[in-house]
Amino acid sequence: MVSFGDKSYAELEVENAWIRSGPANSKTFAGYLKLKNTYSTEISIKKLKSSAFEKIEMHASLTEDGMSSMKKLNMLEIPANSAFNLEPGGYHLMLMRPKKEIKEADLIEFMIYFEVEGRTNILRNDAMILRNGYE
Amino acid sequence: MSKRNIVFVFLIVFGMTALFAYFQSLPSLLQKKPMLLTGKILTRPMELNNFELIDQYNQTFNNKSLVGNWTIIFFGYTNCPDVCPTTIYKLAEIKNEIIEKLPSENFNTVLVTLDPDRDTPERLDEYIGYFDKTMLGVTGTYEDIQTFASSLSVFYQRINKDEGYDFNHTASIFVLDKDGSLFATMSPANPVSELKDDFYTILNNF
Repeated sequence: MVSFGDKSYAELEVENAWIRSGPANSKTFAGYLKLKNTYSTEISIKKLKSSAFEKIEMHASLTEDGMSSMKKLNMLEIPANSAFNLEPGGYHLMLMRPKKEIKEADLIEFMIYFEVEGRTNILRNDAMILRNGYE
Repeated sequence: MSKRNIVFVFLIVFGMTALFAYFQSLPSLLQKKPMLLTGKILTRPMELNNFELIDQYNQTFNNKSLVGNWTIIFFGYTNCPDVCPTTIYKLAEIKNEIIEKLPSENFNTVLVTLDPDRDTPERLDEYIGYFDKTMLGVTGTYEDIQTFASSLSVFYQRINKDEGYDFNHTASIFVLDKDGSLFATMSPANPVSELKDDFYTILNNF
């Protein structure tokens, strides 16, 4: 069953979604947001989509033994009744190949596909294009 | 004075001299380099090997470019949308505050690319110009970048992906003193407040 929701869809809430702006001709952007699972079971974020980008992936910037690296995640699990921050230098969205100009202060619509108790839901949200996050 | 008393007096004088010498040298024994929250200060600054790179304005960047300023160097590539801009903004915030509070200090920040194929001086100009115009962006030939990275013990490795490529690389930032020698290393993943404290520790003590 697929159900469609708005900004706060029952189990999953999104706060302060933003995408870091970059110089002209940038091919990749990083996106950040706070995810809140208000439900009594785990939620799995399966994928994200936006009409403004050809592809969105979930990534983690890691520092291990003094080396920094990037890891692609196939899904992101948020435990029951807890919040998860995607923030600069850590977990983030990688938004690839913009289909239009990405301008500061614009809002970009995106969809989060998540699974809870075997059901797939879609949550619609907007991310603000900002230089350095919400002050 | 008996022989035994002479030995006794000698031992007392010797002991007091030794104690005096010990307390005299105490301050220098205690005077260790200050500790940093996010990294460490080298026991003694390390001179860098000769290097020759080029900045976003097509000007030479070499050992002489470091003389007379404190310089912070970090390695990255402009196709990295998360860590690089985050580090640039952290360093810009630190630099702006220090310039305001300690106007006598010259303090430069430099991004050295690990990706000379994509990061030409023009691309670096566009990228750095967007995030922090006062920063230098430096590139060069593979060999010259490799030589410079090795002199700071920076390891890096190109990781090919389905689309494009990334780099795994040493995460540190490098603080060079006014002679252009490596002075301290720090980990940029730490909170900006701790990094700031460490720069103040360095600038106030040396």
